[in-house]
Amino acid sequence: MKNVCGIIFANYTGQGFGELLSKRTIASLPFGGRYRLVDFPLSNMVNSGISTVGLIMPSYYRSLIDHVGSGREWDLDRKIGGLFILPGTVYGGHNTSEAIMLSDLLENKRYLQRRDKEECVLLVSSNKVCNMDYRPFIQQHIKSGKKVSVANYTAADGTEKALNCTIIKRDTLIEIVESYSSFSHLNLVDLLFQEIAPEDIGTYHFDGYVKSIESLQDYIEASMDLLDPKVHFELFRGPRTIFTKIQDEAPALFDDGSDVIHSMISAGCEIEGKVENSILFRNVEVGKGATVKNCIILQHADIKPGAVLENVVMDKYSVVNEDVKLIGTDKNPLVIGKNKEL
Amino acid sequence: MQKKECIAMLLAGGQGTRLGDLTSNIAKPAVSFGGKYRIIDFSLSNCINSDIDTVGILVQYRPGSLNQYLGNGAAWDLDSVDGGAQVLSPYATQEGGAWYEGTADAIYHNIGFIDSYNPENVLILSGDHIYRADYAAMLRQHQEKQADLTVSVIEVPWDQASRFGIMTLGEDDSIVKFTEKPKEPDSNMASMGVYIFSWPVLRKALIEDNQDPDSEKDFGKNVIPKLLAEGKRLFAYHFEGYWKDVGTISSYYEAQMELIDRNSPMNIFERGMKIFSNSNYYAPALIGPEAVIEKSLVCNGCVINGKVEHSITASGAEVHSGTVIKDSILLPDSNIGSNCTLIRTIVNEGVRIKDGCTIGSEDGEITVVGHDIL
Repeated sequence: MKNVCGIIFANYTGQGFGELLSKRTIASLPFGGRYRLVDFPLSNMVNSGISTVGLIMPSYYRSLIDHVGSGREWDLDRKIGGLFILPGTVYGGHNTSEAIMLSDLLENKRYLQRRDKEECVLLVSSNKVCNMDYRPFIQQHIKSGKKVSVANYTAADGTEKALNCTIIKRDTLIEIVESYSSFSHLNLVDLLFQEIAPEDIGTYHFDGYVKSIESLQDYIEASMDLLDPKVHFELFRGPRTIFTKIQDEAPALFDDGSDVIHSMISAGCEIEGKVENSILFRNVEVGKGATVKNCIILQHADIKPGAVLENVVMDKYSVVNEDVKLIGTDKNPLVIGKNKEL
Repeated sequence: MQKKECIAMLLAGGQGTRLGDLTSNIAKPAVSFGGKYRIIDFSLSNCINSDIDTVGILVQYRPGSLNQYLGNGAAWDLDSVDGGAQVLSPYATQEGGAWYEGTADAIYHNIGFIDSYNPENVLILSGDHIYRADYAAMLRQHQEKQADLTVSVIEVPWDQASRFGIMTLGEDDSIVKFTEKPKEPDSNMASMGVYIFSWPVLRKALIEDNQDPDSEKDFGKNVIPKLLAEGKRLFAYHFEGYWKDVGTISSYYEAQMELIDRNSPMNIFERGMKIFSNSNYYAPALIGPEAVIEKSLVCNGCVINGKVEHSITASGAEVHSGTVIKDSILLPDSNIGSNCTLIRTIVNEGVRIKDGCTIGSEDGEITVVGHDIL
């Protein structure tokens, strides 16, 4: 797929995630024990043979830059192509919607203009959990001769939804970006449907697992989906690896007193308590007699002996002291920010 | 390029015959250890943790898997512009070609490689030891003593001294005598096979040793005794801590079992000096609804739905429901079917075991399953 370059929109955040998104965008939201959401579009690009990828950065870029670095972990530290860090435009703070802003493309017109070898551009959002091979989509698009194609999926409730994964001829994209340069607050996808005749727009149906993370509830549901072997195997044990930043932790230690069922446990965890129906990120410690149930515990959390956590989403480096009880409910999970001591 | 203070040469050509099936297809340094590591990870991590950024890795026996595993050395931060990890295999010249005959011969054939970095000192390592060491401290002592050779030594129990190369030391830790596997040892200071040589001294000794038709071209048997006889400055460096040569199935098994303890002398959980490996692309372990895991190390990529008791399940290993894994080690990507019982068993990499098998027993030898049971 050397004739396709990619752009990942990593510059929007979400609402209702509590402190989880106070200093990061949705793209850098930790997910699945060791990943961040941006790993899915990045890995999907690379696994589909796309080795020129632009990443549109948010205003809060620290966590994202720290994560992607030079792109080495995704094999994107290339001489030919590779990872391009592209500045995003900021409108007085956060862009909270998933929109692909025209202004972001205008800002990066040179990235598009200089890709002479690439015939098409694949534009992808960064809040969809899926392990997708873009190649059949791209091939269908090229064969169809249409100007634009969009991918859809069937959501859990049975409705057909946009995957926000769009392939467009590079020339057409540059034309649109240039002709609308003074109306930069527009969403590209809306514009495409206005500008391009319906017969020139193709659709593709992706029938794998997709979960769109638009709320805290979506995030929790998607996390718990990973405990379903069918979803877990499709995302993580198929031929296409989801790559992420490597941290070289020791294997997880299930020490005396550990009682773990139906959970995902990452390297570096040390467990002496009870863990059920939960996702533990790297280096989480669960002390003797502690209970962790229906929780998502981000890395380096320290849950001391006797503590009880139910329906809690806890950000990095937080400490729960001995015998402290933190009980959320299914409908109202507790969200605990970074570096908190409770 | 700048002159290097010290580069490392890592001997990784050994076959590891006593590990049987585990080394039938791969070199001993490439054998899985402690779940997510391979034996060579320990020496390589020690190098980078000791600020040594140039490591020549001498391969010979079945180098394929080792080369693949090492890649460009990036996993150990050894992908440097000037140096890094470089695999050195036996090669042919206009005069012909030959396999490496001994440890010293392997280095002799790579004099050109070492010269190209113009190092002051060369650290010689073995690729099949499990330990965490700070070679920088050893190098400092080597420089302070203005030594020609510094040998890292470890105190061993007297009754085991005859299994090692034994150093007899003077009061200032100078080496006065070196005996390979002495019947009646007069010291219990054993050589760990870790040497720092001043490069000009080693270079000259290797060339002379190569011309000696009676030499076995071995560091312990030939080069060190030769330098000692010449009155060179040889000193011991006292290593303190955990060090193990995992040469046999039983030592390989015991050394790994010791890791399942956060107070183990070989503490892999310590975050100060990380052990790096090239196995970090697996998702976190999926622990199923029927799983029971007690006192075990479980790596990323595992899918566990049976009972795992005092065992190690390496990256990507699967244990299906109704199965009991006890006092056992599952190597990477092995797959154990339903309703099996494995006791004191090592399952080789990628090996699949069908449903309902009972393997191993509470006492007696460790069972090694080298091939699929289907």
